[in-house]
Amino acid sequence: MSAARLSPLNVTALALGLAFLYGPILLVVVFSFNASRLATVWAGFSTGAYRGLLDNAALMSALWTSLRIALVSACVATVLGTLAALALVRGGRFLGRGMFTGLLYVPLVLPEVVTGLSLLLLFVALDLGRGTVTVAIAHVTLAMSFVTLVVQARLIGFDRSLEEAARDLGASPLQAFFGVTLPIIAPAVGAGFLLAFTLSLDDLVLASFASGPGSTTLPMYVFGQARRGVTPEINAVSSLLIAAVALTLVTVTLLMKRRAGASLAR
Amino acid sequence: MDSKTIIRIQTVTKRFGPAVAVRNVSLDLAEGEFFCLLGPSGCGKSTLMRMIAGFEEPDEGRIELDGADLVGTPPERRPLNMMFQSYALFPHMTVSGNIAYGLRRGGLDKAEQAARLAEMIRIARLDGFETRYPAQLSGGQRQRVALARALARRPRVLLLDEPLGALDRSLRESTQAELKELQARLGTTFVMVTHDQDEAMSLADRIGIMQAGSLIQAGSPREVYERPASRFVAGFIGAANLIEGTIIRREPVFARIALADGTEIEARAETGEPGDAVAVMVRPEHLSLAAGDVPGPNRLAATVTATAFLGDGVSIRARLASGQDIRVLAHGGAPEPLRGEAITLAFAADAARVVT
Ligand SMILES: Nc1ncnc2c1ncn2[C@@H]1O[C@H](COP(=O)(O)OP(=O)(O)OP(=O)(O)O)[C@@H](O)[C@H]1O
Ligand SMILES: [Mg+2]
Repeated sequence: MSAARLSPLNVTALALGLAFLYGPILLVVVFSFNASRLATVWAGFSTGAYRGLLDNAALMSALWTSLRIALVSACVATVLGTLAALALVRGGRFLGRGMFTGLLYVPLVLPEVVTGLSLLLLFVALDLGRGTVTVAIAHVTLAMSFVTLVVQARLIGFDRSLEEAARDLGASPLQAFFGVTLPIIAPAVGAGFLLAFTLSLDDLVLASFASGPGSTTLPMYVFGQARRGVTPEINAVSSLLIAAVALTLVTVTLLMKRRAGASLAR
Repeated sequence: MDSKTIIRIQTVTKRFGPAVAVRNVSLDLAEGEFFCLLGPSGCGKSTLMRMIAGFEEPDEGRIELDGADLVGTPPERRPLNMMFQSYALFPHMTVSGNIAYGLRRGGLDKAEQAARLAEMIRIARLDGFETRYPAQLSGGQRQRVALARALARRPRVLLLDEPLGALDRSLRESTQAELKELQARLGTTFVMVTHDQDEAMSLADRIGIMQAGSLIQAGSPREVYERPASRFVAGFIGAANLIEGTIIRREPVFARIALADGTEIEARAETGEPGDAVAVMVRPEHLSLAAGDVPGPNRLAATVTATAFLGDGVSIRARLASGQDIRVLAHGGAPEPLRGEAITLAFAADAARVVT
């Protein structure tokens, strides 16, 4: 970027834009430190809401459910998404390759309500009892495309002669993949995993469709509570979620920027 | 070749879709020789190397190593190694890690691996760089890591795909000498792709010239320089004047050729019948300036278009009566002709060769 000066108009527009985007989020964080039980009245600073979280059994159980689902679905989505990226980039020309590449974007743009509804129909048709497993499956379908897109971008720039060099030096195809390819695309795979993890942790719509009794996720719990009135506790949980997501996104950005070699060159 | 054949390539053809990348190539490589593959871009040099290494399988023909068919053997089980044009160094491994990568699968015990690694580091003059990553090395150092990595397993044959292509001129010349010396010391068979004919001439025991997928000629540098198999080879190896004409008489060793303007010249000929349209190849250094009024065989009238003083001689560009441009390298002492001056060029019939 050039050091061109921002005009007052630009500064105002930028400030308003940022305020519009992050103002509400900031408000949530501020009110999570409210000493009052009422969401809209500021009664002084307190960390009581955060301390109260640990004693809230329903909330802790929802958090635990969410984390379990996020971990499992992110792992599955990462493996499947990476394999899909390998097939799309490396598989040569196979029937429907263009179509599959295009289909990757569908989960990204399809309204989640539609995805949720179709999954619900599927689960009912298969007579799958709804619970944590079905929520995890739903999250895998969503997150896999993200992983594939991220890994695919990295694979396209991958120099295949590196794999050939490994083979030439005595490595089997599998050894070459795990010893050379995977370490080099690891930042993208890691970024994909984190994206999948946050997508699962954040999701409300798909979870609402796919969950059953006893599989309430954290966003579902927060949403349910908020409908009865926003408390500092809800604000505190939301603030923690915001922090987790922000941290993940920063990590993902750093991972994606990381160039093999350049970053290893300490 | 008196030494033993190590690699035998028999009537190998490779197609990519409708395109033929390598066409019916047969070639024997002798144990311990330094063979250079030379040819214009896209002529199939890399494809031929990749078939020897095992990255591509031939569509037709076979490739043998020590008499055993290699077709179907994956690259990791061929006792050959390749040095890649882009070096293909593993960016996430140190210099030591790169060189030791192949050693870990070479059936050597830990002590032998360490000894071999130390030896390769020393040979490649990489002492002190063991813990660096490829991104922290200069181009010349990377090239040496790639060479050390490919030699670490002591391959029977080392394949080098334009190994010096990325180096600047001065580094390239010193590296050529090192490469030649190393090859002689190790006794490993080297097959190297290059598009630099000077490099091929100075390094190779034998040169193979490829054109559009076919191997046109294989022979020692002297052979291909003095007895090129075709106009293409003559033009590709060294500077050559190709004078167009028609054979009018054929003798056992020589042929008489008439040029378009009626001038008749004599040249060595191995092929060609009277009536054939051919070219007579004369190297610039074999042409000399003759006094215009002295008649004799093999005289060409020309007009000087440019001259350049080279220190030990004069380079002259002249135009024949037919309009064809011709290059002359006159040796020291000769008076430098002026631009536009009419000159007579002479050459010995022995130094001229009919090519088709
Ligand atoms: N994987 C491939 N798929 C399709 N065509 C290919 C493939 N590899 C090579 N070719 C074609 O085969 C021909 C020979 O290619 P090759 O790489 O062997 O040439 P080369 O002599 O090494 O050229 P250069 O000097 O530019 O490296 C080229 O026309 C190239 O386009
Ligand atoms: Mg090539």
